[in-house]
Amino acid sequence: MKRIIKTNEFSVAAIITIIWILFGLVNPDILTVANLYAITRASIISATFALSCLLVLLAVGIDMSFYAVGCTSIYVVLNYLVKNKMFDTPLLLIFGASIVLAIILQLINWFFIDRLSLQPFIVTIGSQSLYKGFLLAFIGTTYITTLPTSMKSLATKYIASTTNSSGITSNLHFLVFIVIIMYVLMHLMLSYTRFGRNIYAIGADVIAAKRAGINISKTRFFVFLLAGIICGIGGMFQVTLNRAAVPADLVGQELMVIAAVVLGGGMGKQARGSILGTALGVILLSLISNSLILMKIPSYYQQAFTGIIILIGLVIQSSKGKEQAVD
Amino acid sequence: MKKIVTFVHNLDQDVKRLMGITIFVFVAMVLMRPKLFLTSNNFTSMGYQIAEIGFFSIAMMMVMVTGGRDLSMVGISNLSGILAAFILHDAFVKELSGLMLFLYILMAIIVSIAVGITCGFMNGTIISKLGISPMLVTLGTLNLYTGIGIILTKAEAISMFPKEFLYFGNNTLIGVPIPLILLIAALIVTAIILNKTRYGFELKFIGSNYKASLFTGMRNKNVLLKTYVYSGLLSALIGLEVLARTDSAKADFGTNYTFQAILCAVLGATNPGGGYAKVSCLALSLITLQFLSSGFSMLRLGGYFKEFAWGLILLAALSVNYFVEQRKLKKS
Repeated sequence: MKRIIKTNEFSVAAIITIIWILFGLVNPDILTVANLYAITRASIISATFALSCLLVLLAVGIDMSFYAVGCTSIYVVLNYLVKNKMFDTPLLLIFGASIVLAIILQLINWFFIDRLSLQPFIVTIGSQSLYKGFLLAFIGTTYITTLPTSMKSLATKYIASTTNSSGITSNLHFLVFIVIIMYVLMHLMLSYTRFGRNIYAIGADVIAAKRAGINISKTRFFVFLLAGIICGIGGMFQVTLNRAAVPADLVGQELMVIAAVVLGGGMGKQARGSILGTALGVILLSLISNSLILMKIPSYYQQAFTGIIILIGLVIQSSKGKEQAVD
Repeated sequence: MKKIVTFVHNLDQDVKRLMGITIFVFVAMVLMRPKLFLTSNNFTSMGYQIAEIGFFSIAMMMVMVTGGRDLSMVGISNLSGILAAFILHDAFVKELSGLMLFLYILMAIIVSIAVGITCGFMNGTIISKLGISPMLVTLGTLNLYTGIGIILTKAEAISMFPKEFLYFGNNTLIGVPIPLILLIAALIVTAIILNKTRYGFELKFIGSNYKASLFTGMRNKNVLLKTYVYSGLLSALIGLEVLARTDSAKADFGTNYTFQAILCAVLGATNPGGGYAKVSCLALSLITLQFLSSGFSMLRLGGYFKEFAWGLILLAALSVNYFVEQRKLKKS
């Protein structure tokens, strides 16, 4: 039991519970199931991209280009489909095309980071600008509001609903289910396959991993491949939930997702990042932005609040790290 | 003539490379729009624009030498600008003049610099004492400082400052825009700090090998702290410059300056992993990027193309740095 308490995930879970209870006392609406559904719907996109971010963070470093990759891949695909009036394309085909494109973009990152041994943060800042600029300068800047029919029906697919006292129905979206499945699969891969353990290994100490016989380049290649797949899926989700494709509208908000991943313990140096931690981090940040609105705190307090939470989280993590180092 | 040739020949390789790039870009821009580019109007307006990104780039370069990144510079500059703006706006509303006005402006400058130093101090303390990754700490403080700025201004812009103050942002001294003069001064001061002081020497040493410098007895934490304070100071100065030039203070101004600063530093032969930087290269890189930026507007290429080009240039600069490093290794 003591060991569980010491983990980072427990601290984050504790913070979530405390905040939830505190905010719930201020505004009981926060504690309702309907609000829970709202929070989960708001977190779908960040949760998906957080997964990609975590993967890259564990093995390589900070990736700033995930939103750009996701938005570019889906926009290019949709732009082509809409221009050629192909509104009856099956959903899986759209997913597939978006994923393929996202994989290509992430593999470009891989080339610079692995083959040329460059710093991941700077390379991905560069590719973020590159992809976003490419999208807006050469592909198009218009909002695409007429989506293929398959995407429109996905947007309104719910798996559960609840009606509150004033008769307003809130729905739990189907995509939440998909996100949970992705998280479970990723957890199984990271914990129980050799590839997963390799990821932790090269994240913690590249030289030791090389000496242990792990093929660094190959592992990184597959990490970026997976990241590409997840970004492509995330881009699809974004457009589906928004019911419109706004080119590159997410770009610029990467730091929030990175904060969520880091709060969940994702920083590769100690190889302690976990899927559960990332999920908790995403939930925490979504909870804060959702609750601040419900507590009628003006939205301009949000940023300062988020900053403080990030700093507190980092300080807690670093003090824990010191304890473990002493052991 | 011969002296010039030997001087150029003996220059450092990075400086040579950057001079080549700068001249190339200059010639290209002149060839493409000679009538627009070679005017004194153009050079003056470039002089105004280069100052803001210039200060950020200097700060980013210093922080990069330690191997870290300061993402909170924009937040610090906005916050310090906002606090100074309150004082200046007050002076404008009260229609002060003479000694009182001078005191108010002085107070605004002092407050702004104090805020910048405090924010930098906070950054530096958390990073050096707790050993947390600088990128993450400054990410948190970016949100914090910007957030405080938003709270103070209720997300609106403050404007209307005394015109005596605005003079500094919009006028020239012997034909050179005042912000540009300040930038040149900052470049010279930074070059002296980096190359001629003990702090600069320790900075480069710590950046290239943290552990070795610990064993040598250098005061690592002290140096890191000073670097972030310097970054905060420069950011506060930009905050003032933006106030003077644009006559307004906003909490979310200049959010893409961080990326441009990183680009400028990397193009300017700063090693992102730490340990090496050259102010002359940074200056050349600033000039190149400014030429490109103005050139793009003249060619009507738009902001999005500029983002694309900046990303491309960053990746290209990184790759070139890599190949140059490889060649150096092979030669030795």
